[in-house]
Amino acid sequence: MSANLQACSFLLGRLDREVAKLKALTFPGHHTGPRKWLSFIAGILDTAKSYLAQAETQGFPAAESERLVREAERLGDNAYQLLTFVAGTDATQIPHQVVAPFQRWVEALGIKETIFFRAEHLPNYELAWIDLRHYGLINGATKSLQDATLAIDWPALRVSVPGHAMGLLPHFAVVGHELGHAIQDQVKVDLTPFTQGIGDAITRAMARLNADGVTWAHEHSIRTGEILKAWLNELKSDAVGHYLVGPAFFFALCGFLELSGRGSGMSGSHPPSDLRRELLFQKLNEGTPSFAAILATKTGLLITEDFNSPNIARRLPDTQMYEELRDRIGKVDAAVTVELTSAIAAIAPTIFHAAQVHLQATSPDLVYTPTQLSADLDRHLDLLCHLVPPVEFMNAGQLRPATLSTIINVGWTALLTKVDQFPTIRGFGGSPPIAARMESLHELLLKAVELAEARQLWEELA
Amino acid sequence: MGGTGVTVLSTEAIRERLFSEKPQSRLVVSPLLDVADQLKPGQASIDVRLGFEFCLVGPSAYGALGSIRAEEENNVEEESFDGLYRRQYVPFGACIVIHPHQFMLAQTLEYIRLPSDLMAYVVGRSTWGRLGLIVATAVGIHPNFAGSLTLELRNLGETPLTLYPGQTIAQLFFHNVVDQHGKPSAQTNPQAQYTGAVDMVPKRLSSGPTLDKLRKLIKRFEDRLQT
Repeated sequence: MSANLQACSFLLGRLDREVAKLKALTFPGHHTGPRKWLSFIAGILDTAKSYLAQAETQGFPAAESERLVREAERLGDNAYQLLTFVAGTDATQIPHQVVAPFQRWVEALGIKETIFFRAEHLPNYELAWIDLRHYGLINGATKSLQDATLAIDWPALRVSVPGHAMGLLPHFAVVGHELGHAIQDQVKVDLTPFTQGIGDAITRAMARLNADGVTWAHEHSIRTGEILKAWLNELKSDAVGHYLVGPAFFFALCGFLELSGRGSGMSGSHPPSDLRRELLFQKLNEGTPSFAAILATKTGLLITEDFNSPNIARRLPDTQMYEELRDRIGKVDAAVTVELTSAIAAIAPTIFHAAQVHLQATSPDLVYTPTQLSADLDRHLDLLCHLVPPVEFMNAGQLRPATLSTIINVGWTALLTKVDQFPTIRGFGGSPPIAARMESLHELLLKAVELAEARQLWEELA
Repeated sequence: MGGTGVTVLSTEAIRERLFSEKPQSRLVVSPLLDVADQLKPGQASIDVRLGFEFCLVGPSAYGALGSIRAEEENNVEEESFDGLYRRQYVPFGACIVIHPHQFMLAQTLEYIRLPSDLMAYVVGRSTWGRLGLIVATAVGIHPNFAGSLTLELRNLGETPLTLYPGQTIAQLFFHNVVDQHGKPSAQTNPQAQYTGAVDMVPKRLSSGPTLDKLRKLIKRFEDRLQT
C-alpha cells in the first residue's frame, strides 16, 4: 500500500469516527436537518473509501490507482469542510425549546427544503442556501451517498442565529425575517410602475460616479441589478417578519441592530437600517386599531421610531452619505446605494402588500394581527408579571396552546413596559437588578415556548 | 376556606383555584394536558407528568460534596454542583431508562405557581412506588413557589424502568396556609416574593447566615485542634 493511500485511509477513518460522534449528539428539538447532513457527509466518506478499495485492487493500473487516491483525498477534504456547516447545531448554544416552534413556521410557510438551525458566536441572523446535490451523481457514488443525497430536499437551508449570550428569546422574532428569505422568490412584486424611479436613480449614480472620476460601465449596471435584488429581498423578508410576528419583529430587529452596533447598516446587501425601521414603524401605525394603538391602550406604551434603537445611525444627506460609504464599500456600491434609497422606499409599500397577499393565501393563520395582540395582552400580560408563563389560554371552555408569535409579543411587551415590576423567581428582600428581572423573563418565556409546544403536540394526537 | 384544622383541598376546590380570576390567588399548574385525567372527581390531588429535562449523575472528580472551608470570607458555597450532572433532554416519544439504584433529577412537565395561601406536598404515584421508583424526597412546596418541580428519582427496585416524558409520575396535595389566628394568609401582599428553582441543579446547601456561622464554628474547632 502506498504511503499516500495509507495516509488517506487514516484520514477517512478519523473523519468517519468524527461523523459518528456528531451523530450521537442531541440536536435541539431532535431536529432531523443536522442528521441528514451528517448522513450526507458519511456517504461522501463511504464513496472515498470505495475509491481507495478500488485503488488497492491487485493488478489495477498504477496511474489509475494514483488518480483514485487523489480523488479520495479530495472527497475527504470536502467532507471535512462540510462538517463546518453543522457546527453550532447542537444543544449547547440553541435552546431545545425553540427549534420545534421554528419548524412549525417553516411548515406553515410551505418551505419544503431541508433546514437546520445553528448558533454561532456572531451577532448575526442569516439564511444560507447550500446546494450540493451533484454529489449523488459523482462517479462511483455509493448507495449510502445516493440515498443521503436523495433524503435532502435541496437546496439545504441553514438558519444561523447568535449563540447563547445573544440568543435572547424575544430577539428570535428575527428568525421570521430569515424564513422570509426562504420564500422571497414566491413573494411576487411587479416593478413596472417603478421603472422610471429606478432609472432616475441609476442616472444620478452615474453622474455621481462621473464627478468622482469613474466612468459607468456594463459591470456597474450588473452590480446595480444585484444590489436592487438584494434590497428587494431584504424588504420582502422584513415584510414576512412583520406579518408573522407583528410588533415583536419591529422591536427585535431594531433591538438587534442596535445591540450589534451596525451604524447605518447600509451596504450592497442591505438597505439602510433606519429606512427598514421607518417602514416597519409605519406598518405598526396602520389600520384601525393599529398595533401601536393597541399597545398604547393596553399598556400606555407610546412607541416612537427609535424607541429601542436610538443608536441606529440615521441617513446623512446624500453627498455626505456617499463620502462616508465610499471608503467602506467602494465608489460604485456607495453611489448606487445612496441613489437607490429613495427608489426602494417608493417600492416598499408594494413589497409589503405582496408579502401580505402571499401569506394570506398560503397560511392565513400565521398572520399576526392587532386583534390577536389585543387578545394576547388581555390573556397573558398581567399573569406573566405574576410569573405565569403564556403557555395556554381558555377559549370556549377549552385550553388552547399559545403560539410562538403570541409568546414573543407578550414577552416584548412585558420587557418594554413591566420589566421594573417583574419579579425574579429567586431571592427575598432587596430589589433585584433589572438584568436579573430580564433573565427571569427570558427563562419564563423559554418555559412557555416549551410547554405550549408540548400542549400543541398532545392535542395533535387527539 | 380557613378554619383552624389542617385542610386538604378537594379536586373541586383545586379546580376552582386553577381557574380563579385573580392573578394573585390563582393556582397555576400548566399545561394541564388532560384535565379530566389529571383532576379526578372525588379525589384530593392533581396528577403531574414527567417533563423533558433530566440531570444524570456520573463519575466526577468530586471528593465529598458540601464541605466548607473555614477561611472563605464570603457566603458563597465552595463548590458549584454544575459539574456533577450531565444534562439530557428527552422529547415526547423518546424515553430514558433508570437502572436499579440509579439516581437522577427530573422535572415535572407542568409549571407550577402557588399563591401565598396554599402549600403543597408532592407524592409519588403508588404504581411507580410498587415498581421501586422513588419520585421525590423534598416533598414540601412552599407558598409562592414558581417553577417546574424538581423530582429526585431513584430506582430502588431490581429492574430497570423506562420513563417517558408525559407519563403521570406524581401527585400534588394542597393545603391552605393560615396565619396565627387561623385565617388565610394574605393573598395580595405586594411584597410577597416568589421562590423556586429556575434550574434543577442545586446552587447552595446552606443559607448565607448559616454558612457564615458554620464557617466560624469550623474555624474555632480547627484552632482548638492545633493548640
